[in-house]
Amino acid sequence: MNKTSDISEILDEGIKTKPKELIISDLKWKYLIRSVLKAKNILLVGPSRCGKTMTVNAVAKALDRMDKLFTFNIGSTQDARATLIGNTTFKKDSGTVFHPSAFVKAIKTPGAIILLDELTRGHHDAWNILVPVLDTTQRYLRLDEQEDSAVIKVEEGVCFMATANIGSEYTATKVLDKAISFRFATKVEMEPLDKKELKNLLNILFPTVTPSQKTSMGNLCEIADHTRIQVHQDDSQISTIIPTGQVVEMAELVMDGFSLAEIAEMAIYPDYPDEGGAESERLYMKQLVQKYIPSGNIKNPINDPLKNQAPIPIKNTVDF
Amino acid sequence: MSVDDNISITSDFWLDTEKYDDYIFKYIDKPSTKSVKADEDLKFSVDLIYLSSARKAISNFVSILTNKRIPVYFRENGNPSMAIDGKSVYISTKILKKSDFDVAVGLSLHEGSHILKTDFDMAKVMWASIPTWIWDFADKHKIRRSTIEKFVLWIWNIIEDRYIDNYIFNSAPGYRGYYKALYDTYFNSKFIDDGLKGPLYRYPSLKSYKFRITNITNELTDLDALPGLREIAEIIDLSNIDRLQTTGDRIKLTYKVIEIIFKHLEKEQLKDLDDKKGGDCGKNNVFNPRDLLEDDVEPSKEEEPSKSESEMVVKEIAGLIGKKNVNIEQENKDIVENIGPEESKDLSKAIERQKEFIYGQIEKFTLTPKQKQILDLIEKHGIVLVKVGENLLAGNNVCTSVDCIVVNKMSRELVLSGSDVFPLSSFWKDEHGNIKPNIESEKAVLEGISLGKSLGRKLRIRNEVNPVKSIRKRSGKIYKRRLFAAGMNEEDIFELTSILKYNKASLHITVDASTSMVGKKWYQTLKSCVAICKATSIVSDIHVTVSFRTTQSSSKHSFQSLPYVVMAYDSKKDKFSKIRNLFPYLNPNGNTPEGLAFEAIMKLFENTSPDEEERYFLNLSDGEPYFRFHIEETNMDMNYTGEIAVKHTKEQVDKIRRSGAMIMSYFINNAGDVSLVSEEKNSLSKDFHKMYGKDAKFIDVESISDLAHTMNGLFLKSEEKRS
Repeated sequence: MNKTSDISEILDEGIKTKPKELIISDLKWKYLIRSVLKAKNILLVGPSRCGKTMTVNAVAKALDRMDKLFTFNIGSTQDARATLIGNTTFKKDSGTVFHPSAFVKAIKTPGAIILLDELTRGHHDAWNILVPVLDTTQRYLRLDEQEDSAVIKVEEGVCFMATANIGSEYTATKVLDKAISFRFATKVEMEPLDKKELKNLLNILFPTVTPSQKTSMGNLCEIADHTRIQVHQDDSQISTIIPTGQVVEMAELVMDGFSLAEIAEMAIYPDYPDEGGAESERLYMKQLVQKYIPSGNIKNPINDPLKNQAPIPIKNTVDF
Repeated sequence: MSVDDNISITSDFWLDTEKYDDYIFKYIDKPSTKSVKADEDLKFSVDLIYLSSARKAISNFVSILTNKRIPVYFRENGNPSMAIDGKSVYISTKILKKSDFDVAVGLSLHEGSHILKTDFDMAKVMWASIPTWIWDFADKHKIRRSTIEKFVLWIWNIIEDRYIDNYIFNSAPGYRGYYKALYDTYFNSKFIDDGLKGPLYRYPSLKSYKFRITNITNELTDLDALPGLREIAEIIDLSNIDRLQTTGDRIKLTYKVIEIIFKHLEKEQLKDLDDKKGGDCGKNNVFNPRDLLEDDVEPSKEEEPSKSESEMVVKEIAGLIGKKNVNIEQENKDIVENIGPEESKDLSKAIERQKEFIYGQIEKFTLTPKQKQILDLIEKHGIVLVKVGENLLAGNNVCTSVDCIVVNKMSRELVLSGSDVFPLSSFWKDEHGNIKPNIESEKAVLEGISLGKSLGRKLRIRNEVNPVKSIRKRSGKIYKRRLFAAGMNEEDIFELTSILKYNKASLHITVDASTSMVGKKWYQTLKSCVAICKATSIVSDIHVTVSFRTTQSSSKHSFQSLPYVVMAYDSKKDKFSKIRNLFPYLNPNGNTPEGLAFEAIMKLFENTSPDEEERYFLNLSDGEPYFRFHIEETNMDMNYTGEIAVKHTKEQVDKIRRSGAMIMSYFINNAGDVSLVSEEKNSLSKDFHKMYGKDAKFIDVESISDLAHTMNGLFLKSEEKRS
């Protein structure tokens, strides 16, 4: 009972530790903190550059475990065995030597937060090695296939946090093996930020901006938000969103004096194919960006006559 | 900067590349020097493709502005003339110039925003909630209730529209150019400007108030033109129109405006009566409501109600100059003396346009049922134009580019439409009215499936997975047989196993479906094409797409046909049954645009196959490029044949090769005519060689062993290239 109330208190306190620049709901944050404290396996799912890895770093920082944060990019692993277990070499002087991997060191660190980045891009071999490690009833890493080979136990309090892209547009990803998927008790969906959240984020990241920079950044948020909404529609005109990370980078371009039209040319249009004429995604994006670029010095046609007080002479005056 | 400059800047924002310009405005930009009716101008499906593109672009604007999928349709014959029905936007087919397009965008943005911002349910029952004092006024002055109702709705429309326009103008600063085009067309035309400055509509009447309030946003509006107009401007308060958040707020304001108008009309009535008592007030010296309300009163039995707006203008002037009982001829004479008949005609036309806009009516340029059917086919099947053959030289002529019609999806509906949108179908009806394909084609497809099953077994080379063990490595798993070497100071005692298997692949089969392929050639082509599709469906990890290429002659010039490519099958999207059910209906037709078609196919091929896939390009053709078309710029006919066509096709084949695709091209000849294949001097086979080089294959495409041998050779070629 005491333990429960302790956790509850820590979690209440934990909400306050959420960094300002991490735009995530309090509930998700609380859930993440709780899962890490209870050494649950956590899977963060979402589109590319929506802040999954950043969230893991923020959690580690909030819990003061940055020195215990170990990052392994499973997606870029060429040799799963070497990365997750280690290498055996032979030296003529010292004989056969096993060099344990950094992963072995990580799981032997009590209270470690181990980030398995880009899990869906990993090789099946890597998944197979991870299955017993992630299994709450096993939690060990066998160094070799042989029965009597050494087994490394996962230390108390070690938490595995994995990130994954799920969706047809991520062509280099694989459908996550159910055996792996089920071993993540906590799944947190990381949605791309909506325009309000994006604007908040940019306000935090770029606190001092000129009014025109603020307008441009606001427009970037609107454009990104439109892609977020559009991509979920049944007959969507575009296949991909402008992710949060890209909006932040484009905001930096605004700070460096680039105009919205220039930013769109460099950072938006290339992500959208231009084939298909009026059906093309790029044309749609051009039309979308155009919405936010004032066309010349066009006066508001809704002229208020009360502000136009100059007397107007009557042509062909008729004597009433 | 002139108005026109602004419009072009606006359109050019997203049409800044020649490509887009050609996709849409080639059609739209044609100068409308003659008065054309939509029916006459749009009978060609190619023109309808352009029109479809324009509709799509307009639809995008509406979707972007409103963040909702609000459909945009062309008005059809028999449709209501309204531009909106609360759910969809309807546009006219009169998009003949860039400026027409800009206005159409502006109008669609306006109507789309109505759907977003206007409470149509409330608006529909507005007539039932009109306050009684308004009806009392109508009854008192013997004005038709319907006239008063229309008047109330008109004023509400004006206020509602200004609210909507303000919303668009502020929320989409980039679309202001389109909006300016809209306002310049409907509200700021020269004739309206002249009307506002002129002597008309200065006599208090419902119509005068309508005209003046409608054009209250015009810079030349004169708030002293009518009594109470300034007060009306004050309560509408255009600068703060966004304060009227709901349709209910806007309706309430409408009633306030009406109250002011009625107040001044009544005052005017009393004033007029006083004037008449003191002077010449007609035969009976009795007030005639017509004096104040013009033609809005109930007409007397002897008097026909006015019919046209121009007649109304005439009457308006007649009223102003104090000759209320003059006949029309006399009135016309007066107009000539005051503003001139032409000007009054122009003004009445401008007012008529405003009326259409206010009532949400669209111009009477509609689609005929036939055009609608074709347009539906175009849109459903993703038919677009792809620009190919840029700067193609043919003798003394240079072709700037040719539009290739690309059909992205082939369906039963399209194949059996009987329309020139799909020129490659052939079918007949049996005595029960059932549609049947050509028997020979059907037989070829069935034989192809059977052949494909056997071929599939022979192509299983791609299914092979080979583990390759490397020994003598310095790390990895200990290789037991080398363990002894550890004692000899050697460190390379490990083994590594890697798995070699074929990558995912994308195979595009393109078939020459020109008339020269008719008969036996066609059946054997169909058979082998189907066989390869079936075989690859058995082999794992091959994405197969099939296209047929020909030309479509649907134009004003006798020789202006265009290259035509139909994407008939995509194994990622279609079931194999599509081949069995639809391919029998295909029949060769038209010419052979070869290289031009390849250019278009290559653009699609690149899109459908990700970089990591191996790509194969397989051509089935009888090797005779021929195509004749018309160059509009020079008004010349051009032949795509002989050396020109062979050279251009070779260039395209080389481009495909350079893009990393493996090519193979089967030469189709009349079955049994071995001499044609073997005879080296034969010009056909020589040209075929020139175009495809070492990738040209002269085999019997109905022979399993030949097909399997060449196909496996193709697959192995990619392996060799990789290693």
